[in-house]
Amino acid sequence: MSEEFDVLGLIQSLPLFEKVKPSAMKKMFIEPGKEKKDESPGLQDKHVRFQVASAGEVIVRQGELDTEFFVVIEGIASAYRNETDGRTHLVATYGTGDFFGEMSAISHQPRSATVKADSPTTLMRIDATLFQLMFEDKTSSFATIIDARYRERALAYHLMTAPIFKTTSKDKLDLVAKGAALVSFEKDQQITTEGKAADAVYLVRAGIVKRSRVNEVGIETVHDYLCDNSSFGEQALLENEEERNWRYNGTAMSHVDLVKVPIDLFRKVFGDNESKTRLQRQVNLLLAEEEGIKTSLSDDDNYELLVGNETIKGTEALVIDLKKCTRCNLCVESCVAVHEDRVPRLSKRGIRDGDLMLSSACYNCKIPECMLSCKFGAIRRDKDGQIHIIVDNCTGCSKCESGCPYGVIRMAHVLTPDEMKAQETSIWESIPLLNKIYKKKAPPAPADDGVKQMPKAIKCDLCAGLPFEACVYNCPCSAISRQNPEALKGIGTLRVS
Amino acid sequence: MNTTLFKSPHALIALLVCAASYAWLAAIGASMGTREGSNVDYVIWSGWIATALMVVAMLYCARKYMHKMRYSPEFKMKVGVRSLEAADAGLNEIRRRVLRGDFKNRGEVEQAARRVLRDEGVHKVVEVEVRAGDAAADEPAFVLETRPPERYGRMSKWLHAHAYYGLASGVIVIFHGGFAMTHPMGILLNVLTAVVILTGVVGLALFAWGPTWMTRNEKDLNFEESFVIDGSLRDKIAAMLQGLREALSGEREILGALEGGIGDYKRAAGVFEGWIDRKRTAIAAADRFVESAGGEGGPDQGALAELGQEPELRAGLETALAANAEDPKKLKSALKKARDDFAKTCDQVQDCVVLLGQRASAGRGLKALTRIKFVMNVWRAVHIPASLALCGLIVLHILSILWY
Repeated sequence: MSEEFDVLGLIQSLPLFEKVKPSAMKKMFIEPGKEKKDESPGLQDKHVRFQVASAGEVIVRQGELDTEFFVVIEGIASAYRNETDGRTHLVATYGTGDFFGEMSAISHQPRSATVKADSPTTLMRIDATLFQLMFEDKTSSFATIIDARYRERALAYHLMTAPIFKTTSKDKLDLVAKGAALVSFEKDQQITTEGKAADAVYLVRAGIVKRSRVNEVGIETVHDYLCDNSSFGEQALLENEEERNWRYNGTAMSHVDLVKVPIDLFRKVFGDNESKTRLQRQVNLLLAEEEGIKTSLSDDDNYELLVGNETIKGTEALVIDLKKCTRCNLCVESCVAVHEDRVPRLSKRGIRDGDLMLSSACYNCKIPECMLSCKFGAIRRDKDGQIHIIVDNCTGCSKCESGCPYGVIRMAHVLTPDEMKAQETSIWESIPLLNKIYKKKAPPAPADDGVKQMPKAIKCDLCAGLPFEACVYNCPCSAISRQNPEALKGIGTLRVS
Repeated sequence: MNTTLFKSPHALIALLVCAASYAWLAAIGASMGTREGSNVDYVIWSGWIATALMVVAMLYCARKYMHKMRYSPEFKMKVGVRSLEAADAGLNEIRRRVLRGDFKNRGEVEQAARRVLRDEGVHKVVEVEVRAGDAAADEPAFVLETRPPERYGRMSKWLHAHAYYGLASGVIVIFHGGFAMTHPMGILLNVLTAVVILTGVVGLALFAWGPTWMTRNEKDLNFEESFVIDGSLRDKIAAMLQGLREALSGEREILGALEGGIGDYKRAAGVFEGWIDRKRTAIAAADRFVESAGGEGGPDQGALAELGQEPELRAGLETALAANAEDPKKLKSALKKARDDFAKTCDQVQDCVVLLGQRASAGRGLKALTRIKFVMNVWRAVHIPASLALCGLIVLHILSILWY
């Protein structure tokens, strides 16, 4: 029996993993006797990894963006939180069987605390894909325990990050956390109905909520898409009971986890005049800001199209100024040059607005649909917020390709080292005219081993590790630039290419 | 219009070099070129300056091809993602220390951040910038941002240098040689310089105005998409024709018209019009025949006679009739199948013609864009070989001067 299986025995003995769906457990480890060819029984390193941290080693840092969930297999670790006033305090201590990181795994929020190993600590790291799979099954002990722990440890902190509770004291937040309910909705399920009585304020923990209105002739107009840490329903706090109705239809665009804070709870917690006034001021500010955005965008008929295309969801857009671009293709050639497999990641197609084109390059979305749709842990976000494809984990299922709202991810035949060698060009071949005379001998065809090579997912990696972004750096016309999509809201007549 | 080229500091430097050279020429009172009255020192030095400027101009080409072949020095700087992540974690720590108020001034933050980058070995690929935070926007005292250093300058800057130093070298060549056409070498050098400079100026004009021209002509599809659409339609048509070749083996005219491609689309459309009318008439006759087959009067032989020009359809119907004469139910469906098989081929031919029409239409757009692209690039067909020849001649010219 391997050492790994002793660990598996331990995992299975943990209450956290009791009654977890067999499909999820299968993703976590391969049972002996059920392994496929070239597999060995043990943990599936695609979704689960082990880490041994030495005493004093930082396991996660406050503020960092990653979505892994940690289970302490052996040892002791402590969590510390740095407050904005510079003070640091101990939040929790974790022993064998304890876990942390659930808030980032659920809501894709930056880490709320720094966790350090107090003694040599063995940890199991579960990626967000597997975590979501186990967490979505609300009948399992996993979801129940995580929710209970989330309520106990993280909910008050999570509430604090919501704009509506920005000025609320810690004591009051604890009361709100105690009385709030954790609710979930499946894709396409209606959360709120326009005109019906509003009874709560919702805070989005995970997933995407669409807010829309339907006009007299039945045409739906999308108001906005809310993602992690957004809230809705605050206007109800300012209205009388008779007039307190939902202004929008709220629909779950994916599996959605929400924190539901009933209006009555607000009345109880914010009963005194001072906190009531402060809360109302905060709600007013929030609504004014929302109205402000709406007003500034109302002139722009195409904003909806941008929202529809979820362009605003992205954090970075690659913009090509067509009035400067001579179509010399040097950007694509440079992109080819920086990738070992000689497959360009840049696509000169995308949303076009007159002379500007938002190229289909990765926006590194706040909620990466590709990452959520990948069940093999092949797509991860790094600590800088960039989305990366782990080619070795990619099975070529193409779910990420269909999941990406911008069509950024493409499936391509990624060359093997032998194929790359065969395709290498010599200096003579790259000189115009001379390449017509000089022709390299065709390499021998690779042996057909009967295994069909699957295409792999590829996308722009922002030339990670190089001191430039090839397309931007090498454009001789200064036609390509990276811009924040928020800055493009004033865009004119758009059409989707 | 792309005006970035006109805002380059290289333009000023090139202008200053030309002005200084002219001032020197005027100051010593020499005349241009090697004619009597010229100053040997000036001629030699202006020659070297022109050569140096040309070398600088050529560095752009070297850089472009070096990058394409992954020989540019930036590739040697590549670091692993792990090092980048470690450096990022270190920078996050500094950001937290900024929040705690550990730093007194911007310099201290910068120093600490640079140390992190050096320790993780990523200082060549990441650069830090520290600025004072905006308190109104809820920013900390110092904001630490990272960016790629782009150490050797963007390609656009190299192009600016190429254009302006190239132009300046042309001007200095005139000062140097006085455009003297007295020797074969002088004629060659002067003519080639003029060709290179003039084609370069055309290139500059196209650089500035070409993209606007191209964009204005990209109506529904852009240049790249036109290629994709054209390729996709071409593949679809080829696949369709593959299937139709057997069915149309007896109809050379329509098959030939379809195989003629988009260049022959008008003829194909004309041939198709007559062809489809005949087929429709035949199908109508076949319908009458099928309808009458189950009736009391028996099959309408008149309708069958009308199918004289469609022997395959007629043969199909006759075979079905002979094989199922005893069973009226089977007969009708067999006749209908023979009629539908024929109609299906007609539909496929129609689809093929429609696709040809679409490709011809997309092709027209593509052709216009390709023409523009050709015009935008044709100057290079003269500029590059002329530049290469000029380089060779300059080397020869320098060697001959040194020899004699």
